[in-house]
Amino acid sequence: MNEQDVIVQRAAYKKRVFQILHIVTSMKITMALLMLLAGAAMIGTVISPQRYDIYHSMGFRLLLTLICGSTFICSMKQLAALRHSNKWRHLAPWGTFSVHMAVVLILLGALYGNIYGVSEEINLAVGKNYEINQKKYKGIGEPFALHLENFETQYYSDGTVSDWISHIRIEQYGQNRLIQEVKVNHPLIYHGISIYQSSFGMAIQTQYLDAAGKVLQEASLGEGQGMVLEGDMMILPVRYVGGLNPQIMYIVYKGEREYDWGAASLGSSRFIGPQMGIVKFIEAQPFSGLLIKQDPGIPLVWFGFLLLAFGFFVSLYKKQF
Amino acid sequence: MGALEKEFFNSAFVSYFLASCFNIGHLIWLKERLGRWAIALTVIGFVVNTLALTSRTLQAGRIPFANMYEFGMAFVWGLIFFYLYIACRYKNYSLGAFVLPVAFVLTGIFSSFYQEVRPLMPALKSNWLLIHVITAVIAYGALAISFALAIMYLWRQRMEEAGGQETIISLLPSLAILDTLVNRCIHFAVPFLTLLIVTGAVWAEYAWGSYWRWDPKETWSLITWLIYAMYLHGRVALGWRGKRAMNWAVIGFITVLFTFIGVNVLLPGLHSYAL
Repeated sequence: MNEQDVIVQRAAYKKRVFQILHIVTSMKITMALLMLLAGAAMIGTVISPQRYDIYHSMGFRLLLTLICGSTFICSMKQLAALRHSNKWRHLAPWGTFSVHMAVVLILLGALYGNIYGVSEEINLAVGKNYEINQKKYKGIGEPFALHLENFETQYYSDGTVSDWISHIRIEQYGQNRLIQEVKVNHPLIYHGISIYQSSFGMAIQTQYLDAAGKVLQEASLGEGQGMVLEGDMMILPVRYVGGLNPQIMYIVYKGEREYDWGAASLGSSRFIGPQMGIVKFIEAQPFSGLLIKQDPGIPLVWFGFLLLAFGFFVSLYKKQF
Repeated sequence: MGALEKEFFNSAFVSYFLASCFNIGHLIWLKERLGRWAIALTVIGFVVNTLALTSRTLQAGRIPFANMYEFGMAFVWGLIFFYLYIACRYKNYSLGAFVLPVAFVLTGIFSSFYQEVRPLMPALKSNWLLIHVITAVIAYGALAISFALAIMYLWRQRMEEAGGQETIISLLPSLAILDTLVNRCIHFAVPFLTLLIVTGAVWAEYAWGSYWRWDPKETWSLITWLIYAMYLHGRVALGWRGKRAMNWAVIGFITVLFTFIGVNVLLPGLHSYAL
């Protein structure tokens, strides 16, 4: 094969690639992809996510990837068409281009966040610390600690909840760096880590002792959370009742069935079960359920959102109005 | 005050219902007087609707956007506002026979979701509420109009094919104008529909810690957006005009209705407080 043949062959090959790309990004295929996505999304809202989580399945991800790719190629085609015409002076085609690029950026941002993002839910009792370090959250520098100073629920005058508030202090380098009230709609953001008010409850320090007073088991339980004991028994503190005479209401289970129930003040002993073991609720502390999150994809997604809105207004308003 | 606001909204319901009857009557019997009554009733409905919104705002001490009932009042108000604007601009009130029935049915649905004024729950205490709901009123209002216009197109086309009365047909705008108007409404609405989803996503990031969780409300808003994306592609690249484009406009608005009423009723999720 001489040099000329190679060049001709390469040109033919290139042409075929372009032909395939052209078919893949044709309008009919695009419509089919959009239709598939809409259909799959629709089915996903009918099936319960416990049974099958369609949105995180391989097929759905493949579909999103295809849409991302096809949108990208389309926007490149638009750009090429713009360069070869004198339309580049007009705003509307740039709007259309922006919309398509925005879709690509949003999907890439979501993908990036999915791969490198970290999130966890923690229950932090009042007065306790939680350390955030490099092991889990990359690029935050020196580890820092969240300290929950107080948790409170505020009410409107008619008795409905107005806010759940976690008073959080951040300690880093052995110093207090930041003190902030974290509420719904008011997350705390520090070194790229966001902390959200997510839930709340009571943490009940529960001990199980033998007749001689030796501690056999100990756990911090939330309301309605059980601790399994010897002999197929389980102790479940149902609810903390505050006020003048704070008590823990509890149920004792043997296997699946209720065996006994009662109420105990903090620190008092209750004999339960045939073995006559002792249960003690040492203390009850309000805790705040916090969502801790690091999503490095956010800036890209936000930029995509801006570009999307901008692109739509420019492309659809310039043409008609 | 609460009772007064309910009375206002009920009066709006009655006015819109009567306006629908007069509008349709106008198309059937071609009596000029019926048409004038229809316009007067629409304006009366619009005024009491405004009064209902105002008294709700005064009573709650905030903008009434916190649940389906409150949003519904604002949405129907926006719909009638768009209708009156288009009708005045094009000097053609025949659209009323198609818009007013939609308005009156929706008013009835929203009335059934009536709730006493309550203070805002923590998740709704945000500046995003205002912009999110305003974009919804604009986008959904314009899409409701596009739906009414599309129905009008399909009706007129059927009448023409069946060789119906010339006079009735002459009251409606021509097919070409209707086709353009539907397209304009959708072009006007889609950027706001996009803003609606975007503001919802950004707000969700601040309130719930994630801009997208495939919550039923989020998912259905995406489906709606995809349907209109297909419409725009079909129109520009595949040359959809006439019946085909009109059918998409109709399907699009049905999805809008499902996203915003059906999801609340049938598919509870994070957005459920809207009920």
